[in-house]
Amino acid sequence: MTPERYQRLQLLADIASELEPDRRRAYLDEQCAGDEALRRDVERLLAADDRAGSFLEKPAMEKFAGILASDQPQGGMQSMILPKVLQDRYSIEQELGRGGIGAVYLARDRNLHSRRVVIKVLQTATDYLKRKFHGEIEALTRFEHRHIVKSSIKARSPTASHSS
Amino acid sequence: MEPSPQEITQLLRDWRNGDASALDRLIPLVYDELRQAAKRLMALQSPGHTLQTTAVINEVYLRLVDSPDIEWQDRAHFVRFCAAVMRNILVDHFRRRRRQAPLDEAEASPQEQDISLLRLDDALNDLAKLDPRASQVVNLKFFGGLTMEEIAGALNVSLPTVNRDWRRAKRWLKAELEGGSQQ
Repeated sequence: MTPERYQRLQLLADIASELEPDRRRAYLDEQCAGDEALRRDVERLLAADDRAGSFLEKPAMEKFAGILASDQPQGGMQSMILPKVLQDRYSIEQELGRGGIGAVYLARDRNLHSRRVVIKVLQTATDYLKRKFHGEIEALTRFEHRHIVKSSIKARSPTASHSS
Repeated sequence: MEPSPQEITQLLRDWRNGDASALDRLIPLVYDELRQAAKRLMALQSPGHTLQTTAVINEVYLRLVDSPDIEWQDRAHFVRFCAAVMRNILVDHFRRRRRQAPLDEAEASPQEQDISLLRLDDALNDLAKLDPRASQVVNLKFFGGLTMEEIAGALNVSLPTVNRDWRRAKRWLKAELEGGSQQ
């Protein structure tokens, strides 16, 4: 199907749908003379027109709101949250929490036998917050304690900073 | 905390001017905001009520682009973008679950039960090649929840044009979803 063919089909269907059955037949006989496939496709559109009813009239949101609200960032969404450098190595399992500055996710490290890690994503990029975040990472590297998370990697994306 | 309204406005402007990387930077922001807004609004609603698309998108808009000097063109653009993100989220969701979502259980003739969001997505991609504006009208109406008048404003075309595009798109998609592809 070419765009030109599509336009022709739709135009014929527009006009034919306004005509009484007898005149409609005569009109299509004339317009589609010698092109059975065209006639068939127009008839198909006209039949679909008659049955369209409430098809697609209710916005997707009304039906799928629950999905939107409960959807966990994983799978395809991972690419939107993590920068490329982290995508190959970590798979996000769930969001643990979020505050004013960023969000924290539980993830698995594919390079280390699916060891569990947390990934903190900074969601704003003011210089002050970036400095603070880097200071936090810096501080973490100085500690070695079983109740303090160890910082293992940091990365940047166009919109967010990450540490895990 | 979000990037400043000026940053978002600039990203939207860049996207409109054809900078694809601006879109990459906008998607995570809007995706997250959409989810949060849907969650908040659902919590406020009594059970059995449906969520209004415009309410969700408005809330996202106010949170992300709360600036008095944003032109309508940018807002229309933003809604168009939200509709695209909505579609993305839902398609992604159903692809992950590997199950088919009936579009409308209420009109559940056997054929219609078979109609799924993923097949609609495919058919819409095909339609976009044949009639880009008609597919955009479906995006804005079905995924963006806009009225015909709002769509006319967003696409900068007349109301009769939007009505015609919508009718054409609907019968085309209906025919495609019910009976395989046309040659």
